[in-house]
Amino acid sequence: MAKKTKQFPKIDANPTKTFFISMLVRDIDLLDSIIDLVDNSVDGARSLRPKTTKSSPRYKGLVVELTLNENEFRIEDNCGGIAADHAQHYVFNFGRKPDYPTVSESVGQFGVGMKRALFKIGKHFRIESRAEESAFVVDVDVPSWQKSPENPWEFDFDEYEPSIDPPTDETDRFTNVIVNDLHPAVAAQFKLDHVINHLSTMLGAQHQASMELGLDILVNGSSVARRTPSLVQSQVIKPLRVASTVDVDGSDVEIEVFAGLAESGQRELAGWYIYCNDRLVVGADKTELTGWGRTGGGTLPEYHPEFRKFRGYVFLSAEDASKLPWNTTKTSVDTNSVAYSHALRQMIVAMQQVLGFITDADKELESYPKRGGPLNKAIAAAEAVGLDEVEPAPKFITDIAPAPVKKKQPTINYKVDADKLEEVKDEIGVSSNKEAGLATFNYYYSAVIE
Amino acid sequence: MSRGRGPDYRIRPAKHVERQMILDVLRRLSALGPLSEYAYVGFGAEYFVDFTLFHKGLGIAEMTSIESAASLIERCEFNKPYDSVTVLEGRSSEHFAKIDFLGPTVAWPDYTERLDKQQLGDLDMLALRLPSRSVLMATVNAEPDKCDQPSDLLKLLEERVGPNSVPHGTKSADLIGWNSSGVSREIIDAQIKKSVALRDDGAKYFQLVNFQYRDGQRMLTVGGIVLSAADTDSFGLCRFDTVDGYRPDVDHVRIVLPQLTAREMAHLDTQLPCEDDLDGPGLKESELDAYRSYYRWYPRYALVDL
Repeated sequence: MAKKTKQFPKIDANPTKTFFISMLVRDIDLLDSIIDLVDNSVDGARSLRPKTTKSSPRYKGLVVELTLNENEFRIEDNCGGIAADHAQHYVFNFGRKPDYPTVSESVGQFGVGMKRALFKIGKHFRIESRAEESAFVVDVDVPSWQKSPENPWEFDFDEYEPSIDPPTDETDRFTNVIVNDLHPAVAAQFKLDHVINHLSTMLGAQHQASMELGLDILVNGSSVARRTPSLVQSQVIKPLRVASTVDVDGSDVEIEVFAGLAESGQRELAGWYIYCNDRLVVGADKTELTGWGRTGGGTLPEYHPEFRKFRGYVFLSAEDASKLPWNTTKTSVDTNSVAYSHALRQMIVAMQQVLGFITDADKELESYPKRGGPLNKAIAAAEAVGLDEVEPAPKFITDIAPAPVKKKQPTINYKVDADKLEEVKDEIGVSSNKEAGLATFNYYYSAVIE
Repeated sequence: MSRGRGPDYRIRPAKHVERQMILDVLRRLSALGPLSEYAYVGFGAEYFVDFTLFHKGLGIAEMTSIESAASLIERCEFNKPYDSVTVLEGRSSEHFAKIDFLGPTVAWPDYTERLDKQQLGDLDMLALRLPSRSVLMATVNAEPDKCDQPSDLLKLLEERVGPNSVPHGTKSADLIGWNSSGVSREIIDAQIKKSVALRDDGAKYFQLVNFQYRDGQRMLTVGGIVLSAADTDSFGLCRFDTVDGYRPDVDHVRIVLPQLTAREMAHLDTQLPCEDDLDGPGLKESELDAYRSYYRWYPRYALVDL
């Protein structure tokens, strides 16, 4: 097959920088791209303070500080810095090289996040970093880089110290990323308070696990509030918690599924949450992605407001982050992946269990309004606990005797001709409209149905 | 599941023949292991006909009946035929998500309504959760939807099962008369295969039965066996092809029984089995053919004063 009989000229298939940049930034939301930069800081923290670290909490003293305004964007961290030779060979490379030295359980994965974010935000960026034994500065004017015709593509160091002796103290290591000459649309966004608020809530949810380990994330000077997942638990209501391991191309992916009820019935928060290596990838999902209204058009119910207390949490973890099912923007999961299929199967079953109970509790309201029935009382009495406090349980357990069903007595209400009604009342020999209605209904039932 | 005003389930001849033929198919499972290791899950209502049959005919002991009608529970508890039958109150969807399936199970949700999303959800749960070697069957009403315009049939089907479940290319004309049964079978088949594909034991679904029968309403029973990758090879050992009720695909067994007198049946029996023309004074060709096909299981009813 490979035998060449004739020599033909090669066909040019090189990408242009302009095309490459425009393609790269198109498919990611601005805020998602910023969170991608925070992922790099978190990976720095993971590698600086591995699980064996003596610090307690693990990320004590580590800070990621974001500054956003109409003139500039900055992200500054003290999470260990980037080694100069790592920057030279890997950081600015588009996509991961096969020999990339990985961080165990990393959240950075595809080797596009940082570049994509920088191109997305502005036309000029500067990265300054000091690691344990090296330091560097890279300063790039994007329009001039786009015009320069070098091949292969390169960036220039503005400063480069390959070895520092004595080594830098841990507290003096840093990475600062500064973007200015912002794209006008981005500058307009950064002026808006609600954009800053939104970024803060996203960070609070997506990096809550790292923050729980002591990482401090600041946005424009204020610490981001952690949004901790919780489920209600009591003697009679116990959330489902199942852990399993699935083999993906020879390496293990750990999967842990939680499902139950939340204390809050806030609609925006209802649904499934999927974490990859503790980074929230999908939040409050109420779509087919997580099994709602499964493809058949609904073998599980579509999301409906009555299910607003439903919460499910799925944690997928792997030493080798490439085995996890996230997409490159870390905003969704690949439904065709082995690991996610494995999780989804458990999620569908778990969800059916919880939604069944919610439906029962909802039905109970018909007989016992004001949440006076045993199911609704039990829900109200259960207390929210953090996921760590949830006992492992293969099923969503509810141990509550249902109340006897009170037979419903519906009311029929309709308008009739007044004269005809009087005739009917005379004929039956009753005086009230109600009696006439009842008598005519009973007459029909005995004549036709019985 | 609730059959308050429905027909007496014990004396429906076509259903009776279907059950007997299913029993023949299920007996072939003994090639995979003792039938007594199987469990049974169904909707026994207050009659438990299928429960009695599978206990007597297969030796299945562990049996679970799901009953959603709270008003029937007391009668179900009273009427359950054996101590090993458990009656669970509540919706099938919830129980199918929660029951502990400890070993191979025959699960037969026997619905009286037309196929809908709720039922597909039940099949989804079962197909995801049943252990390998389990048999999953469903009975649904296969009458076409009632509507003024036959052209509305497709829309009504979409509403019942969801647009994505409707087989590509289905036309309203495919939903008239018995055709509707074929479309329901296709939808159930696709649902079970889709659910099984999500399992992590590499399981496959092999259809075993595809009955159409009518004691009044047109009904469909379709189902098959779920075998993990490790068990798939043993499928051939069962020799399902040796029993009359086995149908692996769209081809169906249609049970419509002519009413014959005891003397006519006895007269025909003396000539059977036989491939040639039967002698049956005054009986139509179609009636003779139906009797030839099902005579082994043809019920004889008599009124007995107990």
